Amino acid sequence: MSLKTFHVIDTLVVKLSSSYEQSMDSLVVRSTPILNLTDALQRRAGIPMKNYGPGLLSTPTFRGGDAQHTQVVWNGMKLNSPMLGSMDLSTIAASQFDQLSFMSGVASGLYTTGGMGSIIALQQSAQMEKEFAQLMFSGGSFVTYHAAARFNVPLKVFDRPAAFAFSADLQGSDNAYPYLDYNNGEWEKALMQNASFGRSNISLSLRVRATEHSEFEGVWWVSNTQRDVPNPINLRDGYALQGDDAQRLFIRWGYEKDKWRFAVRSMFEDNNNRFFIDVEDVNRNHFQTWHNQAEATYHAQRWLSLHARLGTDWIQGESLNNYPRPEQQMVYSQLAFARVNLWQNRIQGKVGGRAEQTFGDTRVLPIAGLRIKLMHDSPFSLISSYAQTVRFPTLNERFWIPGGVPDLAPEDGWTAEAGFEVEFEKTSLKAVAYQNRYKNRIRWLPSGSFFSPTNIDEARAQGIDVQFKHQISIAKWRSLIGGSYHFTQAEGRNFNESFTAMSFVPVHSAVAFASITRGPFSIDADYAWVDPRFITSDVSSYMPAYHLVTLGGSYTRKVGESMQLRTSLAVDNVTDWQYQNMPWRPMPGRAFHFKLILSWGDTL
Amino acid sequence: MGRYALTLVVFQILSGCQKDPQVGPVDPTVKNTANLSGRRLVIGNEGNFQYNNSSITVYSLETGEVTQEVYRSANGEGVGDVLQDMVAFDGKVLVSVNNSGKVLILNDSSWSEEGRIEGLNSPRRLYNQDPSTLWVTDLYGNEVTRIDLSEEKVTGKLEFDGWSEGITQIDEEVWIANMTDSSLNRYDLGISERNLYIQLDFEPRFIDTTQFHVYVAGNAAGTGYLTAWLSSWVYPASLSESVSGMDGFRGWSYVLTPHRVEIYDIDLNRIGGFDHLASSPYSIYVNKDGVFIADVKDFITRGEVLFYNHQYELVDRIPAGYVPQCMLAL
Repeated sequence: MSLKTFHVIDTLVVKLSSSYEQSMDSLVVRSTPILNLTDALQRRAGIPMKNYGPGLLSTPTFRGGDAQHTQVVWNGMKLNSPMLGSMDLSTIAASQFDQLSFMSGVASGLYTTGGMGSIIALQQSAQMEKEFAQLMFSGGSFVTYHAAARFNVPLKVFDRPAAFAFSADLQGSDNAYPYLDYNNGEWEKALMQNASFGRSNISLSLRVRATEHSEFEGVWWVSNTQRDVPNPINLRDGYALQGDDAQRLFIRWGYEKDKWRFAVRSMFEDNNNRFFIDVEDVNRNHFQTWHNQAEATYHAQRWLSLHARLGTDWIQGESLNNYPRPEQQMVYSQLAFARVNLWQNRIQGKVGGRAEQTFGDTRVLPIAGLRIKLMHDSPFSLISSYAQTVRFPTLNERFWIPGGVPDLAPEDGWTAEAGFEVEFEKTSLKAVAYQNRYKNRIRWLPSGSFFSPTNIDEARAQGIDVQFKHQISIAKWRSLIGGSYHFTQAEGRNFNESFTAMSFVPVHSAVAFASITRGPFSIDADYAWVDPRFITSDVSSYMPAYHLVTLGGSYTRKVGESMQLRTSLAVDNVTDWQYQNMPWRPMPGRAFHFKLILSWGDTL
Repeated sequence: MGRYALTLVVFQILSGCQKDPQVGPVDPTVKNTANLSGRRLVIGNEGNFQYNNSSITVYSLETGEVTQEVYRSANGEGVGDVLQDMVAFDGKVLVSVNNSGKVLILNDSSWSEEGRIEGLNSPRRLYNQDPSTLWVTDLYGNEVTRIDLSEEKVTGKLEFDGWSEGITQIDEEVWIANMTDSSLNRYDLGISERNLYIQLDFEPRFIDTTQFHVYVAGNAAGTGYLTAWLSSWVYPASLSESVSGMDGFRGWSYVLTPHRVEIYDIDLNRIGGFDHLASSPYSIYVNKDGVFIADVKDFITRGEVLFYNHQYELVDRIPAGYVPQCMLAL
């Protein structure tokens, strides 16, 4: 739902302003359907994905990264599975969060390791200054439904200022959509079957200003996904069932006085994954993580602040068929950096490093960023940043039976980018050129009769990321246009062979969006383009390009003194483009969506 | 009015801009011009899991010509998903396609499909006991299936506890490797019952017979093992590297390791070997023409087969399809 400005006594989101970042807002309010993080990142930021279908597994390939190279953090705490190393973005509802920031891998070291490609920071907190509620319901083609409720209430706890927030999101679909089956060289109409899914995310937040200088917050988040996983259409009919349950509890305490700011955070997650055919369990995976951070910031001078953080992560995972005895991992991390603002803030810099130790491996990773404003009042800034990166092997890569390699080497790399940013009152433009490399890339290769994770030689990527927004107001007309473009040249090689294109990474991908509002009426249009993607590294077999257009319109009216009702209708994939994002995984064609949003209070 | 016309034009452009009729993966096919008769090596390409891009390559041992995608050319469709094994007899080539759950019966010259057996669970290795009987091991089915080739249907099963892999025969008994519990199992074909169970210290991926010996090779914890059975384990050989393949020829066992081919005599004495050039060796096939090593490279690049003569000189590099998995000579 629409995003709020808020202040917390904490530094949950530590951004590297000299790196590429895209923040997304008002995701649910728009008429175009955005159910989850996959939709948000594909439609609004043009992030290329490996997407197996609506409700099915989807992971980003930003800047040539593998699924494990995008880290997702919630209030600063890592959500990626310690067993797989990745995060299925289709399982996270987009409506739940106050802020959603997509950042390049340069900034990832400020949060965690493993983000060679990118990091997604989700921010969720009850808000002291706001009182609002929203109810949303949408329904559409293929029996797709989405219902969300959210409210935020300031209150008193033991006579102290506090706030309570609630968020619930239910979504699902039968996914019985028509598609063109091109399996045997002929067009055949077919209907997707056994692809339904249902998903729920519910969270509660309580935030209390305990003293004038300190506050406490707890957030509980429970999620559940049940989905059919159909066979690719080139195979025999059949499907499996997958169930995921996760419970997450986040607590933090923050203290701020004079030049000092302290924060202690802790998050516990219990995550169960069950995969079965008919009623027979094929496998069960279970992990628990307990992340802890203690942080201090000292604002030494107007131009200098110092920041330090200590972290520990306790991790335990087990896989019924593949390592039934729980395996444990401890991760110790230290982060320290200095932030300087010189020459009337025309020069802003951040320099520091992250150290992390696990399973006997230690890495020290420098991070640096510089932002230079050419003139004091100029909207034009030059930005550049650099970081070393590492991805430690996951539990599966170490302990999977058969094939796990306990002493597998981490992936080591670096990433750098430079560009410019222009910020006017109604216009923003950011463009960066980047390069990244990493060695000891981990891939699962056959070793005798089974696959085993192997350190192969290296991968590299270079390219350009651009984002743009512009607001126009003419008389009673208001409009917002914007878009993103990503140019990516990603290559990898096996041992000492020559570099070849990395699979599933499009050279070009882009999105554009526009909204026009006049009074209670508004029209939205989205466009997405994904270039052909090679699916083999000899640059021959490929997935064709696709172009998707979504059009929608909405009408908003006041209901009583403090409520408003927004009614929307959207047509997704207007041209009924038949496409597959992953081989033999057809995506829906044209679809219709209807949405109602009823809002009270400060969301108006 | 002009705005409406413009809107219609834009809509029409958008509606008609799907120029590429391809929806799914586009796999540019290779032109087929070579002669498919004469002495030839047939290469079964596994393809990528769930991509449906298994294929068959034919290499002329007389002219060196290569023909890709012979099955697609003859039948108008792909082989299926994960071609696993091939056997040849009586003018036919039988092909197991693991993830498609089928066995194809192909004419070995025209490559047209003459029959198929479907509904198998996850077929792996093939063993043709005689012209009318085919045995098929299975990854998930907990069974080994007997197929009557004349009727093209399943006529019997051996119950099997786990993943059955390699299969071979001595007299009236078949030997089947169990990958699940790392065992070797002997079945009496007369009564279809197991009469010997041998626990191994490694996963028995490869199995072969010569002169009443059963040779078994495989890996455990990254170390390769090769041993032989003749009423008891009598010939253990020690390997310094993992095993990627094994094939027998004229009483010798050719064992493929990451960087070499090691050659053992019937008593498993190492009698020679040579370094090979494969970056990711996947399987080995030996016949009177020489030693053929399948190199799958990075699995998502088309592989090749390295053809060495028996003086261990590289004769040819044969371009293949994705993940060349099995070979046989006709």
